[in-house]
Amino acid sequence: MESTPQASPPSDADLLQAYRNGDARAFERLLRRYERPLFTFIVRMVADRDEAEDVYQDTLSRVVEKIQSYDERGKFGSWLFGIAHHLCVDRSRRKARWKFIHSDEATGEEFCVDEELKDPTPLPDTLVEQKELNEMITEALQHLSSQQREVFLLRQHSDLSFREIAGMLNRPLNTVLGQMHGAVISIRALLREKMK
Amino acid sequence: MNNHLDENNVLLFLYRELPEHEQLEAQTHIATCATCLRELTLLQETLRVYQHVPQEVPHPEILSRIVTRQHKNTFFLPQVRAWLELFFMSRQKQWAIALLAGILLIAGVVYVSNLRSPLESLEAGAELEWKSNVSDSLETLSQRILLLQKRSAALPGITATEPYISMETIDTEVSALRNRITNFSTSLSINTF
Repeated sequence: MESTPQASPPSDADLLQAYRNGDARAFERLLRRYERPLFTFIVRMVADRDEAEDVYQDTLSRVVEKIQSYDERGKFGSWLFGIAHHLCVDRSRRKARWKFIHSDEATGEEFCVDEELKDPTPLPDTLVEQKELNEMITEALQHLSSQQREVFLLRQHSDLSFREIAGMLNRPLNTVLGQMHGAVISIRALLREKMK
Repeated sequence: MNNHLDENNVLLFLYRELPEHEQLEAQTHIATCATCLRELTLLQETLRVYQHVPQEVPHPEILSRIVTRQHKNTFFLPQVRAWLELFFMSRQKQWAIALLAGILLIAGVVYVSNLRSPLESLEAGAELEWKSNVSDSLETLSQRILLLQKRSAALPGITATEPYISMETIDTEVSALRNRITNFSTSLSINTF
């Protein structure tokens, strides 16, 4: 019996072309591919889910605004994460400035715990474990320097190589690799401490 | 390879970002070097734990809403925008277009107000003809009366200025005139109703 060959999914470039030919669903499909990694990247960059939704919306708005002028020679993912990274950094800077101005009013809380964690409904053990792990990771990420955090999150959630990340952040490759290594070691140390 | 892999190269090896031949060399080295293997395992385990954390899921409506808005902006609004560009042209052009539009509007109003329906046109033609008939008939009538007056020298109190006309001739003329008046009255009643 002859097996039907599986059609490979369209590439980002194919979907972009379809969108430019008037297929709005192609654009949505393209963005859906990146939806979760992009949102996870943003949530972990800004460490606040509500704020992350704002940044996520801003990122998508910026993408749709600039899509007509997007240069297809680069990878769509790099471009998308580049925009998200820029907005996260911009927001962090503004937040840091605001905190500095209002330091007397600062509560000392660096980030909000996910609202779902406050839900008193009992969860299955595995989910509880995942939630705990999520909390630990979130905390560990906040202990990293901002440079380590952005390198780590970009490498984990975008499909950018270290060289591409170095190019995007305008840093030497070895610096980026050192920051990644430092990030992994710090996360490991914190996880070990928490799991004791 | 005698020396250990440095931490950067371990990372590049882990993510398969070394050039192919270096990737193979690193693999061979790690297989026989406990130190490098430990370093690799340490990174691998941490990253595996991180990957075990579920990804965050945004509200799906956010993306749909933004894409729908973008679709309208890209494929619908440009046509509207082309029209709206009229409002963003120079002030002189705006005035010129406004003036032209005003003139066209006035001309249109005047034209429409003078426009008659076919029935109105028919009635107007009939009225004109009717007026013309009335005018003709009245003129003819007055001329005939004048002529009769001039020719009725035989009648007492009237001085003859024209050659004598017999009574029979006058009767004939009056009879013809009466017929015309009758015909005219008939046409008048038709036109009136």
